[in-house]
Formats: sequence, structure tokens, C-alpha cells
Amino acid sequence: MTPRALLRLLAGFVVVTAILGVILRLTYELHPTHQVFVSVWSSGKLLDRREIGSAEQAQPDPRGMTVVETVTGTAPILKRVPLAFTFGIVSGRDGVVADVHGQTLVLTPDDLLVRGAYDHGFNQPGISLSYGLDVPLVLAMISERAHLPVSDITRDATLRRIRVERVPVGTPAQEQPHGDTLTREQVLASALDLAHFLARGQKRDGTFRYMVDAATNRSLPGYDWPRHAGATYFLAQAAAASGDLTLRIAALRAAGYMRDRAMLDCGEHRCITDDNDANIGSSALGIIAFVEIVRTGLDPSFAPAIPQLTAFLRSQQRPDGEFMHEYNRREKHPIDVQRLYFAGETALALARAFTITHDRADLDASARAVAYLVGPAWSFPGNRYYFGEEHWTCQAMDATWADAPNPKALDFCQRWQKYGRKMQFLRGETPFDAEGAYGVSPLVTPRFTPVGSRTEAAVATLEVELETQTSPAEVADLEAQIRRSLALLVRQQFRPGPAHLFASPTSVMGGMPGSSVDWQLRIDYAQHAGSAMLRWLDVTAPPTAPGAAGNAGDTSRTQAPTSAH
Amino acid sequence: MTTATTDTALEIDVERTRRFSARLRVAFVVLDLFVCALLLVGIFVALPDRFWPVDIAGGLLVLLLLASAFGMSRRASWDAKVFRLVAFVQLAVGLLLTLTSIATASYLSGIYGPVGRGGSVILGLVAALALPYLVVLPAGKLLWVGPIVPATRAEPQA
Repeated sequence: MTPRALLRLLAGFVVVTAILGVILRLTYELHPTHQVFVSVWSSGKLLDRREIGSAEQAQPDPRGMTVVETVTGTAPILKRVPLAFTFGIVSGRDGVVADVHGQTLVLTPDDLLVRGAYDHGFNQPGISLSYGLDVPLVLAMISERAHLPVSDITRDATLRRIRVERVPVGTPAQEQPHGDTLTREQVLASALDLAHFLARGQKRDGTFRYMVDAATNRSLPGYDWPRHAGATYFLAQAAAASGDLTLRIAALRAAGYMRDRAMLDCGEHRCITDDNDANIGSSALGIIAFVEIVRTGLDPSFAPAIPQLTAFLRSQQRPDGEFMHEYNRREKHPIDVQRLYFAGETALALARAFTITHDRADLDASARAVAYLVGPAWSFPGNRYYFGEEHWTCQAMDATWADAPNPKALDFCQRWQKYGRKMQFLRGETPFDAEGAYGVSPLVTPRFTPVGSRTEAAVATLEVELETQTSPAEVADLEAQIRRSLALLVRQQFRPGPAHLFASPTSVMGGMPGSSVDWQLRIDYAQHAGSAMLRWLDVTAPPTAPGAAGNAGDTSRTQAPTSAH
Repeated sequence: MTTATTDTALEIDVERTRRFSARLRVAFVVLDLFVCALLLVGIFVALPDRFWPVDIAGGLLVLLLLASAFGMSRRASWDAKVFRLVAFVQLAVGLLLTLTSIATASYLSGIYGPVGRGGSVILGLVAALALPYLVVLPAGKLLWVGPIVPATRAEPQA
């Protein structure tokens, strides 16, 4: 090929590509339109929907909750390319209109939210991630409403996406906080609602409704001891912060179940499990919960269980600081495997336990674990550019700081938070309400659990920064990062959320969903968000206001017991 | 007068002797094999899912590159033709990939607004990773091997 011919080819390519890009953009972006629907919902079921001239004409309907849905934009859907269809809808904000055989059928975002159609197009099992529109479900929904087979919809329907803004009728709009407007009162109220959500879902034996589908109020299967213990820990924090008797009872009932029913023999020690293979995570988070209960004075009778469990954890530690994460109870030997989170949880548990046991062995074991986690465990050429989930590690760094400070661990946590800031969405960077969330793509609806857990770690890092010679600019950056995340959690919590779409709004009141379109409420979603909130209130409490709401949640510093007792 | 068969043979021979020194042959073989390895790892290891258009196109390109490398290493009589053909295919795949990336970005920006920092970085990385091997390299190969010399140009020498 001659240089001239190659140049012509490439120039032609650039021109064609540019034209195609512009055409695609202009075709598929929203074109302004104005259409108003009034919908009546009861117990999560659509009773009626009709088009009206303007939003002002909408009146509350006695049959249920009335919402006005205003269509502000429309654009075609690339139906014949499955992948393009899947990503052709903005989750939670776009609905679908189908024109088929003379009928026009409207599926608003509320219709799709109730059926869980968003973010279920593709599943990535390895990383528990799903994204994109569930196209078969949407086609089935259109088919139901049109009384036509799905094949007719696939073949004959012309589909459009619509951007919809929803406003409840008769309910005053609440001001939504952002990082710069967030108040301590909002955070405390939000945290206590999270705690009450957990308490309402507690059974008589002390276990929780582990996971609830908010739309149907159905309990979903599964249970997990570390998460039970985490929820117990958060309830103890909330009970101490509020003095609320309901929360105190819930915390003690959950803790009592662990101590009295799930503490079993692991060789010569005691551990928390209900299986032959015990994992250290259950015992670690159990300790964290017991320490909180004892430290805050909710019930000192849990103190004797703590050294029994720490002895088990210490016996699982390897000489390099890492732990053997499982124990075979029948054969009475540790299993040297490593699972996600458990090492950090154990490091934190041992550090917190030290405040009760005053056993130097607990602190030393924790310090060695922290040194391992921020050193050999994360030692590879690209380790400054890539991080795992280190929320427990950084809380352990904070918990050991007073008695065994590790500057390398602080540096590690500060770098992780900086890395997080690069990935944190700012206002307007995605079409979702995602300011304060973490993600790499504006196409995937951000999850709220990492927001909560990373904020727990950020608050722990902030606490140490405030005690060290950290530059004010760095502290300010971290504070702003935390405030953005907390504001997001407050905004997205179901207080009450889109109550018209819930089968039982009171049952899910205060719950924290997995994302703005994933309405499964798992107990650890509430725990991470709530613990982050209460820790932030504690760490940033004005020194001149002892006994104020935030101080009441005085949590988890290693030197804290002296002031707590 | 020269027959067409002799012309073609001469054409190939001229190209081979003029274009491909021993060192260049080795360099092209190594580059083709390197791109093969990249494609195999990128498509069949790094990509998290199997998608037949990508798998088949990538697999075919790998086979073509192997054929090109084989021909060059064995000084086959057909090496220049295959070398040029494979370079064209490689360039076409590269341009198609670039076109698809840009079209995808345009489509998604129509739906989601600006693709955002994260999306831009990902698309930029994809382009940066693919362009040297699938656009710049085949373009360089095509420039080096030059245009096909028409048989009629050999006639005046006869």
C-alpha cells in the first residue's frame, strides 16, 4: 500500500466514524416532550393510571397513594441489538413505551422498579455484580398488558424510552441533604431509623430477618453469623447513642443468641459457629459486638465471653501475622485457608477486645495482623494503584493506634482513601443520584454497601489523622469525602422511600437498599451505613458539647473505655 | 515476452528480495506471534464471557497471523501475498474495533450523558491497548510491503 492510499483510507475512516458518532448521539439522546400521568398505588400494586393535562390537575385518590409521573423526554430504543437494548435504559429513571398493533403501552420506572427489572440484564457471578435492563422481563410485562404473545412484541412493537420525574401527591417534598448541607441531626436520625429497621425485623430468638425484598416484604433465604454479629454491634452502638430501650433489648437479644446458642467448642477454645468448620469471622464480629455491649455499659455480663473468643482467634494466627481462617471442630485443627474480610475483622476484634481484657497478647496479635495486612499481604508491583476492600483493616489500624501505632498502616489507609476519592462520583457525573458513591462507570447503578463500609474506614482514618500531623488539606479532603458518602446514604435510605411501591411500607421503613434499584434489604447493608454514621458523629463531635447526641454514640476507640465506663 | 506465470513469480521474487531482509523477517515473525499471544490472552482469558462474534473473529485473526508468521519464517513462495492480506485484515479489524468503540461511546453518551471520567478512561485504555497492534502495526506492514506490483510493469524489461 502506498502512503497516499493509506492516508486516504485513514482519513475516510475518521470522517465516517465522526459522522456515525454524531448520528448515534443525536438519535438516541432524549428529545424533550411533556406528558403527565397520574397513578394510584396500593400496597405496591398499581390500581389506576391515566393521562392528565398537567400536574396541577392531580388530586389525591382515596383508594391509595397517588403519584404524578411527568414524562420529560423520549428517545428510540435500539431493540434489535440485545446489548444495546439492555444498556439503552437508565436504571431507575427511564421507562419504556411500546406501540404495537394500535395500542400504546406505558411502563414507567415505578412499574419496572416494582418488578425488579433494572440491573438484572447481566450477572457477573464472580463479583456479585449485575447490570443492565432485564429485557425478557420487560418484553413479558408489555406482553401481559397488551394481551399479545411476546413474539408479537419482539417482532412488531416500536419501543421508546421515556425519562420520567415522579412526585407524590399530597406529600410535601423533603429537602435532600448533600455533602455540604448535611447536618448531624439528619445523620443521627437516619442511623436510628436504620437501627429500628433491624429491631423490627428481629425474631423472638434474637435472629433477624436476614434479607427482605422491600417491594413484596418477603423474607429471602439465607443467614450469616458474621453479619448477625455485625448487626448486633450496630444495634449496641445505636442503643448507646440514643438510650433507646427497644434498641438495647434488640442488641442484647441478638448478642444473647450468639453467646448462649452459637458459642461452641473449637478444640480447647470457644468459637461462634453452627457448623463443623468454624470461620474466624463469626467469632471476630461476635467479639466486636460483645465489646461494644460491655464498653457502653449495656450489659457487663458479656465480658467473660470475650477472652474465651480471643484465645481462639489468637490460636489461629500464623507466625507471619496472617490467620488460618477456618477450624475443623471434629478433627480439632485449624484450616489454613484465607477468606475475604476475615483477617481485617479479626485484627479489629483483638484490638477492641484489648480494651476489655487488658491482655497484651490480644493487642500484640492485632498489631501483627495489621502489619501483615498492610505489608506482605498487599505487596506486589502495582499495589499503589490497586486496592481491595480494606474497611476492617483500617478500622483495626485506628483501634490499635493508641497503644501500638503503625504509621505504615496509616499511610496505607490514607492512600486507600485517596484512591477511593478518585473513584467517588461527584454531583452530575452520572444520571443516577450517585454523588458520594464509588464506581468506575456511570453505566452501573452504584451499590450502597461499599459506601457504608468505606465510610466506616474513612472515619477511622480521619480519627487518626486528627490526632497526627496530617496536613489540614488532606484532612479536609477526607472529611468532604465522608460527608458526600453519608449524605448519599441519608438520601437513599427508605425514610420512607417510594412507599407507594412497597407492599408494607412500615415494615421496610428505615431500611437501606442495595442500590437505588436493588431493593433487597440485607442486615449488613444497615449495619455498615449505620455504624459509619454513628462513628462519624462520635469522631467529629464538637469538644464543647459533651453528652450531645453524637457523643452519646462514643464508640470503639481503644482508649475509650475509661471515658465510657 | 514474458508469460503471466513468469511475471507473477518475478513480481513475488522482486518483492521478497527487495522487502524482506533476514532481520526484518525475524522481526515480523516475532511481532505477528506477539500479537497472536495478545489476542489469545485478551479474548480467551481476560474477557469474562464468551461472545461468538468476538471469539470467531479473534480466532480467525490469530490463525491468519500464524499463517503469515509461518510463511515468513519458511520463506514460502506465497509469503508476501499472505503477509499483505493479513495486514489488511488486521487493519480492518483494528479500524472496526475503533469504530465500534466510538459508536458505543456515542450511543451511551446519548443515553447516559457524558460517559464520565471512568468510562473515558476505560475506552481510552481499550483504544490505547488495541491501536498499536491492530492499526499502527498493520499500517506499517502495508507501507513496508508496498503496493502489489502489476504484472504489466514487468513487460518492458523483457
